[in-house]
Amino acid sequence: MPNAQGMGEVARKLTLTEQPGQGAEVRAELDRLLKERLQLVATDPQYVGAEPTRGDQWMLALVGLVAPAVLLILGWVIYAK
Amino acid sequence: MPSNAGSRSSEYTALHQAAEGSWPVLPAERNWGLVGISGVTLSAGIAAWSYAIGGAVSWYLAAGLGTIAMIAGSLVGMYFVTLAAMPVSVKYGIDTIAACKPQYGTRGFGFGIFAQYASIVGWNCLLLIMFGQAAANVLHAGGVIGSSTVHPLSIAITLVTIAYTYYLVIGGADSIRNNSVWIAVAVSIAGAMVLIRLIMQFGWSDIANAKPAYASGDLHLDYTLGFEILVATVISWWPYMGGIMRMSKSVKQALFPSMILLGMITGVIGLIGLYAGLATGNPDPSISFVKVTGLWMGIVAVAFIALANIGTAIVGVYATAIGLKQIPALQYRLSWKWTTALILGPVAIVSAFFSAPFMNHILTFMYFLGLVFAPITAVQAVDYYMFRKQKLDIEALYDSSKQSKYYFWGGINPAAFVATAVGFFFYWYLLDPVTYAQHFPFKWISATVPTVIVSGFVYWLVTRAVVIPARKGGYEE
Repeated sequence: MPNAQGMGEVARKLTLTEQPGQGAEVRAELDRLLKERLQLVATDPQYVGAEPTRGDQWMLALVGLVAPAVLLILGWVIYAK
Repeated sequence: MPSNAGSRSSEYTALHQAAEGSWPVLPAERNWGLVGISGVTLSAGIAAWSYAIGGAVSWYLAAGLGTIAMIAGSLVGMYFVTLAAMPVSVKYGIDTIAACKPQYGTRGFGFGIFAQYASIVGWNCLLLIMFGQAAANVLHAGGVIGSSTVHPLSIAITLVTIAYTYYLVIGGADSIRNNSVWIAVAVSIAGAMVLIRLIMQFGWSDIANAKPAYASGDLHLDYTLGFEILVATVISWWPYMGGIMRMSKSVKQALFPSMILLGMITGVIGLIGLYAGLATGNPDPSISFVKVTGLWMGIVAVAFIALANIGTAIVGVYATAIGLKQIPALQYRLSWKWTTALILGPVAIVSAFFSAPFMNHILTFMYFLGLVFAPITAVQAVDYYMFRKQKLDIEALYDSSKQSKYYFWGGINPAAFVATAVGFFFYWYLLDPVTYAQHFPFKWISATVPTVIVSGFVYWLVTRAVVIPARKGGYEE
C-alpha cells in the first residue's frame, strides 16, 4: 500500500502546480480512497473474474493466427501470378 | 485561455483520474454488455491514423495482396495484444499499465507508460502534420496559394492546431475526449467520401490494377513488408487494451470486440488509404485524399479530417497525460499544463522543423512500434500464463514499498528489461526501422512474430535461471 511518508516533502516540491499544498491534500485523499477500494476488492467474493476457457483460447488462436495464415496463403495463391 | 479555476479543476481531475483509473474495477462496475463494449471498441478502432497505415502499405503492394496482408496483419497484431493484455484485465478489472507491474516491477512499469507516451507522440505528429498538409493542399488545389507556400502554410496550420489541441486539453476537454463516437463518425464520413469519389473517378479495375510506387521487385518480400506494417502498428494498441476490456464481464464477451472491432477494423479502414494511394500514386493521404476529392469535396473532406484528427489527438494526449500522471516522480511535481506540454511539445518541434522527413520516413515510426511493443506483449504473456498461472496479487500491485512482491531489485525486474532489449535488437536485425534493410529470415517469418517468440523465450530463461532462484517477484509461492 502506498504510505503517507514524505507527503510534506512532496508538497514542498510542488513547484509547478498551480496551488502549493493541493498535491499533498489530494494524495492523502487518494491514499484513503485506494485503501477503501482494496478493502472492497479483498472482501468481494466475486471480484476475481473468470479465466479464459480452453475454448476461448482456441477461438482466439483460430481468429488471430489460423485465419490470417489461411488468408495469406490464399491471397498468395490467387494474386501472386 | 482557460481560467485558473479551470486549470486547478483539471489538475484535480487529472490526479483523480490518473490514480483511480489505474485502480481495480469492482464486479458491480463492470457493467458494459456486449453492445456497450462493441460500441466503445469500434469507436476507438475507427481512427484517422488507419489512412496513413493503408497509405504506407500502398508503397509495396497492389490492391489484392494489400487487402489480404492488411486484414491478416491486423488480426495477428491484435492476437498478441489480446493474448497478453485482455484476460488479466477482464479477470481483475485492471488496466494494462497496472498489469505490467508483475513483469517490469513497481518502478519499471514506467517503461510501459513511456512506450505509450512515445507512441502517442508519434501518432499525433502524423495526425496533425497530415491535417496541416491536407488543408494546405486543398488551398493550393483551389488556386488560393502558390506551390511555394504549401509547405510553410501546412506547418503554420499544424502549429496552430497543436496550440488549439493544447488549449482544449488543459481546459479539461471532457466534452471532446468523451466523444469518441463522433470522432469515429467523422473518420467514417471522410473515408466514405474518399472511397466513393475514388471508385467514381478511377473505377475499381484501375484501382485493382494500379502498381505500388515503391515495390522492391520481390513480391514475396513486399507481401511480408505489407503484413509487417499492420502487425507492428496494431500491436501498439497494447497500452489501451486494458482500459477498455476491464469493463467487460467475461473474456468470451470481450474476444469479438477486441479482435474484430479494435484490431481488424484498423486494417479495414486503412484499405481506403491503400486504394487512394494506389490510384493517385501518392501514399500520403494528405495528398492522395485531396487529389481524389477535388477542391469542393476536398474542403468538406478536410473539415471531417480536422474533426477526426484533432479529436483523435485529444483523446491520445489525454490518455497519455493520465498515464504520465501515474508515474510517482511526475504525479505531484508536474502540473497538468506541463504534462500536456510534455506530450505536445515534441509534436510541435517535429511539426515545425522535421515535418517533411517525418512524413517521408513514417515507416520508421511504424516499425518502431513493433520493435517496442512485440517484446512487451511477449514478456507479459509468458509471465502471466507460464509463471503466475493467471494469478496476481492485487494488493501488491498498488504497493510501491520494498515489501511488495513485485518490487524485485529496486522496483525493477531485470528479466523483463533483458528480454525487451534482446527483442529490440532481434527485431532491428530482421528489419532495420531506419534503413528498411531486412535480413534472413524476415521474408519468411516477418519481424514482430519472431520477436515475440524470442523475447518470450529470453524472459522465461532469465526468470527461471535468475529471478526465481533469487526468490524475487513472488514466484516461489
